[in-house]
Amino acid sequence: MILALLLLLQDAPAKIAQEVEYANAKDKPQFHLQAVRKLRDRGGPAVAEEILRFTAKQGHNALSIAFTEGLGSLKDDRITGLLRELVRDKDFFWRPTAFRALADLGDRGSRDDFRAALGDRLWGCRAAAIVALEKLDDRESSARIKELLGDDVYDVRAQAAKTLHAFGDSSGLPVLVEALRANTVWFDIDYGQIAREDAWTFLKKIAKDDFGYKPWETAEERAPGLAKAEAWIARTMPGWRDQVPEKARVRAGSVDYTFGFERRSCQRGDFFFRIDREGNLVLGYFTLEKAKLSDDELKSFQAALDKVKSLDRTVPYGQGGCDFEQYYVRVGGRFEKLWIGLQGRPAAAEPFVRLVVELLRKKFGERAVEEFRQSSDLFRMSE
Amino acid sequence: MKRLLWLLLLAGCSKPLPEAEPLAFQSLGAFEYTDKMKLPGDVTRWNGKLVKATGFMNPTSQARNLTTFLLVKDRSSCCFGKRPQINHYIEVKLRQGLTADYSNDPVTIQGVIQVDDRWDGDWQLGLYWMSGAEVIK
Repeated sequence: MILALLLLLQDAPAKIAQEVEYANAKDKPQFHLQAVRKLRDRGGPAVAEEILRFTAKQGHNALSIAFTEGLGSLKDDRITGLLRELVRDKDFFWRPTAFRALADLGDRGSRDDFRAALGDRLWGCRAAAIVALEKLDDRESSARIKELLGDDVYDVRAQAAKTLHAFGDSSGLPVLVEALRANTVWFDIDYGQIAREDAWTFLKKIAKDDFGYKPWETAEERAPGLAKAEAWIARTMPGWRDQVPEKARVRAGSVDYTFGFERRSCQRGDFFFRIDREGNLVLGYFTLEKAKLSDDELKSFQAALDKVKSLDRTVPYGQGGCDFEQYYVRVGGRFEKLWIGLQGRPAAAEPFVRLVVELLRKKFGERAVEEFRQSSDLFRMSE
Repeated sequence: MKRLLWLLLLAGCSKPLPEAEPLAFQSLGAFEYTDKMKLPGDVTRWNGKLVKATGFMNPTSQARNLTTFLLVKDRSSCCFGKRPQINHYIEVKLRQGLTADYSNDPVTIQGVIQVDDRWDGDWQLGLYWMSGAEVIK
């Protein structure tokens, strides 16, 4: 019996090392959650030690998202310290997740980091910071959170509304009721439905009524439920519509686009723009900014785009993963996509990227250029 | 005799190929999995059947000429960092000689599915397996 116990104890460090390795192994995604669970169940100082050893040796970006999330269930000061390092590392891939893990630990020592992250360039960090401040019951941050009801991204606005409600302030609810009308479509993806479902799930809980509204139905089918939800909020907030911040207002959709560019980067954030039928350059996807292109600008754009179009769109370029650029090119009556992953952008697409930088500077200023450039280099083909 | 053999061969060849049954991910993932549990009948009934399933390819760092990949049920678990639950993906091995390129659009895969809770010691390898598969869309 004693011998068996000794053998088991001897074996533990090797098992912990294997669990940490498997929780982060790029070629074994099916093991990530299992390994995280095993580490959480095991707990204790030896687990924290091995995690610190692994991170020191492999670097922050060797950590998987599941593992980073799992750190939030390990109550150990050294793990809290590691998470603080991770959220401060601007190059770490999973900063929003690390913020959420810190929130799960209810780390009061990170309050200032959370407050600062309300202005982070990554919307995932802004949303996670709001969640964290709610967990800390940091009502001193209410005014700053209230400002985020007018954020560019729905997820941030919605989280701000939910957190304010948890603080006993219902002034964010109009944002959620307005989102029941969300109609954002990015080519074939209905982001509007994602926002509608999220807002409805929260509202039906607090109203104790689902309004007979179904977020996945057509606009006509949703109309009676929408009217009920709007009547519900109007009973307590008659002027609710005026309280919807400008950026949270749903605009009439159905603009016809001739081209789209989407960049999604787990590492650096997202960037979207389109060209509409009237020759406008349109930035963003939930909140749109528009600027008219001149005939000459449109001609240059078309010339650069033709080079992109000459690339074979039936194959992906670069490395797979959650960082990619996608070009939506109109061919006849439909759109074809060109997919470019990390270090995969062919030389033929470079003049297009340079032209976009020029146009963004001219039409929207340095802020837009900076956002676009933030992740552009990730896709440049390696020499 | 030779003619008879030819006739038999032709009869065998003209037999229509079995039709693949459409398999929705919902029917594989609609239960909470616990370690080494007895799998629900709704799930085990698919074992050994020729099916076609539509889902998303889980990206790895390789984007071209894939011979194996995980087919997951939704876009969020494929492309935006969320890790799929064990009953929310099929490990797909393409038929010998076939390859596929990564795509973030939905793909339909056809092949024979094995429902088999496979373990290597303490580590669960997977629940759903498809070998000899092909991408049909």
